[in-house]
Amino acid sequence: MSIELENLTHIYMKGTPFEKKALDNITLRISDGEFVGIIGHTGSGKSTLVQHFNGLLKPTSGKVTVNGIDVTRGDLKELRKHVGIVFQYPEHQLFEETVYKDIAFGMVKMGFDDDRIKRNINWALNLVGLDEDILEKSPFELSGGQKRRVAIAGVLVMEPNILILDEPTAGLDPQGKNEIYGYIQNLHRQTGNTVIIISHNMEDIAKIAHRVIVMNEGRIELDGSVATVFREADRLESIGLTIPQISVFIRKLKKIVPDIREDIFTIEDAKNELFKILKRR
Amino acid sequence: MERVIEIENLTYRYARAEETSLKNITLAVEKGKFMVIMGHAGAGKTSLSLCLNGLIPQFMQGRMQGKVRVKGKDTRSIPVQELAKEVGLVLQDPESQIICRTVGEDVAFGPENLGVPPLEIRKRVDEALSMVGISDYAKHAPHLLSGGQKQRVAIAGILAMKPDCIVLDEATSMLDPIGRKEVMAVLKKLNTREGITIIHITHHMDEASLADRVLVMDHGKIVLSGTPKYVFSNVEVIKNLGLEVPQVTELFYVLRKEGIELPNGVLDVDEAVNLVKDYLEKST
Repeated sequence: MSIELENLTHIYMKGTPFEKKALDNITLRISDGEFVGIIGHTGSGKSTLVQHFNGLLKPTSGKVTVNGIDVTRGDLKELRKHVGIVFQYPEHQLFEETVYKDIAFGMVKMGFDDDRIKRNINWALNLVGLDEDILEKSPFELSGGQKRRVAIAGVLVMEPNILILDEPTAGLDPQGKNEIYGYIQNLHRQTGNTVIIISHNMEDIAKIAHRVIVMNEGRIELDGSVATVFREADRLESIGLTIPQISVFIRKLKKIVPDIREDIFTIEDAKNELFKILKRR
Repeated sequence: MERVIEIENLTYRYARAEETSLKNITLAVEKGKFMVIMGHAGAGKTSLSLCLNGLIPQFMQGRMQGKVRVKGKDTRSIPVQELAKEVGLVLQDPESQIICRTVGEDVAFGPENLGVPPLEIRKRVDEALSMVGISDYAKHAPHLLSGGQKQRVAIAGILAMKPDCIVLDEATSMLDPIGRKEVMAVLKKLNTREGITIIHITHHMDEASLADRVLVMDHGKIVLSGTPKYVFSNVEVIKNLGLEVPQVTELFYVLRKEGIELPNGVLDVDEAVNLVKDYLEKST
């Protein structure tokens, strides 16, 4: 059970004057249960990449296999039971009369029985921190943060074992952002699902992801643990990305305190390291 | 200093709303300032911004008390189309505020509706596009631009109306880091070179650090107001409101809590490095 890409190339509008190579010969494997952050600036191919994971896009050349299903030839309905994608601004896709109907929509289409639908809705609501009394409301009378959570719940109830979220916190305030990330981390802990998050925010990716994939111009620029990727600060900057402020600080401090650890990407780590250094003087 | 905006005891409640959105706000914004407003969702930031160009009270049904004056003019009595020449508003979603077939036409839309003569419109459009750095795209279709470029088109559309003040309601929150940098650079330039007053609503601390003055709102009130250094020295207050401070500011705060005597309200990396250096020199 994993995502496997072999020499994946995707070209938009092939054969027209607007032809654009969005993905260029990508080979990649994401194993079961990984927590992956994908970063890269706009147009680097992040969203194009993940849309291959559930067959919304087909490779122009190369091969994509997800949980053993070949995306080009395989059973896409079956594949989409495994892979749930939460798109950017998913609240734009809410449409039903009530929150209950909206969350249940996918499950009804997939033929889940009533018990399972109710059970899943309760579980997902709880996970994204919403009360049951929201179920009879119209999705359009909710606040922005609530709408976002309802939309995410609508994907979670499908029981995907691979969950992909494209910029899940864009446009939210810091509290809303931290809450959403908290729910996703809980879900990962509870279920051991594969989670893939696309984000521009390096601070957040440093905090939550285990593995980081950096995309640039349709290729994988860097791939590894948070520490190995963020160590390449100059390279990240050259492709328009910035490392967290705290890491910039540590790098500059190293000129004065040569024995400081360099692989620091969160405030917590920085605090512990600095405390040791400042205390011993 | 000349005041562009004066607000006295402003209270506002939307029609049928259970809670008052703005509670007794008094605020003056001086000409040429760069002000940032922060606050979590529902704090009243957008309501306040709608009061600055007369959309509240003139276009919204609700109850407004107190006074808002733009360049001395009362926003209750001066028509919105007049106020639009003084205060321009840029919104969050780049998609939702561009309506014409080309970038140039879109920028011309405002002055056209103000009845500006055609030759003058042409001049203003060219100037505005050049100020935001997208002259080359004048004949392009807006939907093919990046988010940062679209927001700059929106800003150019405002500039073509020659306002003294531009209000941006989370105009960078849907942009990627490159788009944010582009827009911030344009705002900084308009502020320093053209003397345009900027009121920028944002959740991004790096953007707030660049302001002359930062306001923090909560439940319709202003809870903190001052220089970025002053505001961000109140780490606890800000965190309790569900907001964030710059990472180095937070680092110094947690170290202080552990008994390390570092100063409060540090904002940028170089300053932080120097302060740690000082600390080490003092203690050896």
